[in-house]
Amino acid sequence: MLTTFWSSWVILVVLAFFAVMIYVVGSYWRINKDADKDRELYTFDGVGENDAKIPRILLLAYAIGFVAVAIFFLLYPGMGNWGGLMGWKSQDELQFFADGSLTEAIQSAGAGESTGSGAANLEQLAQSDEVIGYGATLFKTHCAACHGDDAQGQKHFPNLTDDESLYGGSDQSILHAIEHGRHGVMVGWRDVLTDQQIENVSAYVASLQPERQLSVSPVSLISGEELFSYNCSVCHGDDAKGNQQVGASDLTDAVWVHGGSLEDIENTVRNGLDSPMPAFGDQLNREQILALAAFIKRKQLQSSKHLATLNGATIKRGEYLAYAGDCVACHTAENGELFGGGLPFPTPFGNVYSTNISPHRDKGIGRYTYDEFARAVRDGKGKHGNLYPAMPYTSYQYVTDEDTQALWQFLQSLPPVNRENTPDTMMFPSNIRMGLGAWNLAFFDRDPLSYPGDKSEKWKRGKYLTLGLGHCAECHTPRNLAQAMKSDAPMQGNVIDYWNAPDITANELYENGWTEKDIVDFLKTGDSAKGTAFAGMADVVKNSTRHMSREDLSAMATYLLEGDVGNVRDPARKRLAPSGFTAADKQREEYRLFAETCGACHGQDGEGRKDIAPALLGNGIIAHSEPYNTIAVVLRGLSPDYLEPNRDYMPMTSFNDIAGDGQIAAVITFIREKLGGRDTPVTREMVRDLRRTLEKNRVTGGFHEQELPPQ
Amino acid sequence: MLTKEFTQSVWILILSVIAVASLSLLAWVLPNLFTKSELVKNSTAKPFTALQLAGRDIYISEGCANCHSQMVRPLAAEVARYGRFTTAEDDIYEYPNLWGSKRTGPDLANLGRKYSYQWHEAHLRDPRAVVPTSIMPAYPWLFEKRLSGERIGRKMEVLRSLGVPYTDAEIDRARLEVRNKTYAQALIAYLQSLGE
Repeated sequence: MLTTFWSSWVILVVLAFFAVMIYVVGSYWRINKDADKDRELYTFDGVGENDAKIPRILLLAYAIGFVAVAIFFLLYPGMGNWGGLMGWKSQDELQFFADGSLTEAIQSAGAGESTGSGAANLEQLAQSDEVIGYGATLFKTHCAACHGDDAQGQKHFPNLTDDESLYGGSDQSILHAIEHGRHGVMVGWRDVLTDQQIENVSAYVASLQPERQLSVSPVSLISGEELFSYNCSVCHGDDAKGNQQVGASDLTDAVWVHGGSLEDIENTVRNGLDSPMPAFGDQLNREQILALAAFIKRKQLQSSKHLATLNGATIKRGEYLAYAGDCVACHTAENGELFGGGLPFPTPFGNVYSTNISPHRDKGIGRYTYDEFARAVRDGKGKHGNLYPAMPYTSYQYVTDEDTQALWQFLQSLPPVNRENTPDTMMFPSNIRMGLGAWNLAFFDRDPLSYPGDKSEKWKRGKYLTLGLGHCAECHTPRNLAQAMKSDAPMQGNVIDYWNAPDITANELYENGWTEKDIVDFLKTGDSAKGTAFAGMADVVKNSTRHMSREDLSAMATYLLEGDVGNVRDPARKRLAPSGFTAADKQREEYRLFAETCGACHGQDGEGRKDIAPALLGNGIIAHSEPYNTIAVVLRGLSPDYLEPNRDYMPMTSFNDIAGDGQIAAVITFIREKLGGRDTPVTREMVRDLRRTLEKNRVTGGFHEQELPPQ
Repeated sequence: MLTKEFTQSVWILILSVIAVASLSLLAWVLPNLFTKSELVKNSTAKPFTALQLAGRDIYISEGCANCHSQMVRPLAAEVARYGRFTTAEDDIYEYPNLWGSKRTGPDLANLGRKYSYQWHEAHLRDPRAVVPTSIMPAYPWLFEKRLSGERIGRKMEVLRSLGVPYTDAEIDRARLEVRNKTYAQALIAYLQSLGE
């Protein structure tokens, strides 16, 4: 507001200006009468200017303009502090919010009085499309940048559509959060705990989610549990279920606002959290807050309604099938959040990263329909284009509709994971997904599986599981240059990550003495009379096969042992019959070497030692026709896989810098013959070539870190 | 009066243009110059702290104002999106004001306290990490460069001469408040102060 003086000043100036303009225009109007276009007024360098009339229309326009201005000054503000006859204010343009239509909408939604703190019933409000309309606009304006367009949140910003809430999630709690904000604070422990302690307690917290597979030693978990009860249970509770009074989160579920990978948890424990939700009480009025809360409630109701449409029994079956298909192992980064994706798949053309397949609408597959999901799984066609065959759709194509539906329902029932997909690093031209169409045309064999009538039901089930969801062939069948499985060499073994996924043809399994029970034991526990699962297979057992029923596993064993087209068992093959070490053998130089190295853990007769090392006598890997893994184990060593706490073995050291190529070749030849019954020798050259490959790719070592030889 | 000598005189032309043009200055600008104290009385604006002021300079030097305005007009659509409209009282300590004239990104007049500190960090590092459709460039170097604070006191003295009520003690402490902070810390402090 201007003071009276300045207000009068403005009025005076405005009027003076108006008067001057009227005077100027009026003067010209007056002299217009006497104008004569034939009279020359002045000449400029011989060019004359005549006294023509100003066109009447121009003067008329001025006149109309003056009248309009006068009317404007009468009706609208302009004369100092005087507001004009209309009483118009610029704020009136904001009537949109002040016209009470939102208030009316809230009242007609029947949620009681809207402005008081009283019993606002959000569920009732959430039924009103009008209120939700306001709420949706407000949400996009004020909330979406953090909580996402779909309110599903992102890292550090919670999902608002689920039933999980740090503060209880009642109507009052939602309204309070919007109006007054929240401030989540957790202290950082880096000054209190050592790095090792932080790692231990983080591993313990991660392990509270029983489905999660962690590569962490049991000792750290025990230490972590103790640290947790001393330091963390004050806020998170003895049972780690959290405390809604202080907003401490439940650590036993799969919902992780600040990231649930082991790395994220360590980071949170180390540095703490300072996570405010701003207060909107000053910006928004009560009705607007109610509309926002109603919108959030609607999202919650929608998501729980969707979850309710899923069938519990189907979900359970889908979960089983997801384990059988080993979805979680690939779609979870190492120690990461389940189904959040991010595991790298190195290929000769660059890295492919597995994707987030949780039902997050922006980051996962929340926007997929069932048909789109089925296309991705079975045809390798994602919504963003062709999938790389790192996704084993070449095997999953055999999965039945019923099973795909169950898988779909299971994945829908999972909590959405806030993890952005990692971009692939494929090089040109393999980074063009359209090109995979050509790959599919050339290598994607769409013939359905054949189930010959003379085979048992068990065999058929085994074939379905082995070649379909189990996708065993993806690793155990060799691949051609374009990374497609060689259809003429099914299950004949392939080298992956410098381990051999061994030949598991019927012939090979028979020769090496595998029985159905051995295979079932192996797949169920990772340990069997024929040896243990290690490297990639340990992960398969850990994440997949050990969750399967013994019936299904024995069906798979039956299929593998009986063979199939292109994998027929040759009746001429004989089972190998290892003799073990005779007294004469024990006098040999190779035995002395064996006893000093291998024998210390594997027993002086190769019989194995409980909790220390598995038996070598009759071991399927020792007896295998391909000595790759035997050599590789000696050169690389092995770390324990923590599959079954009561069946774990000690780590195996790398003998790369302990024994020479010739010594290793001699010992391996010796034990293959005596303990495996396989008399094809392993040469010094074989050991040397493999050692060079392994060293070049930096995978030798174990306890004794290997220096690279000069290139 | 409208004789040939009068209408053809260059001096009369210049003087009358100045006279007419100055009428709008006299009506719009002059009263406001003399009612500044009135604005200050009604304003809830607070002078920037040293760190916020340093952040404001980074805001200017990074060219934020080229894409972000700080002026919400009293129109329904704008208020719905950006919150309370800007009034004359809001900008009493702004030298120069950063109203801007082009919105490639959203208006920031009421940005303060809308997002958490973590959000701003994530957003400045990589806007796409929090707003997938954003076209804003990433500013990773803000997290590496640090302020020395050598010149912040002098800046505050200049602002004081323009009417920002900084005390001697505040100017004295300013260097310590700013010293060794990252550019991002300063910028976020400034952004969080907007619209308070």
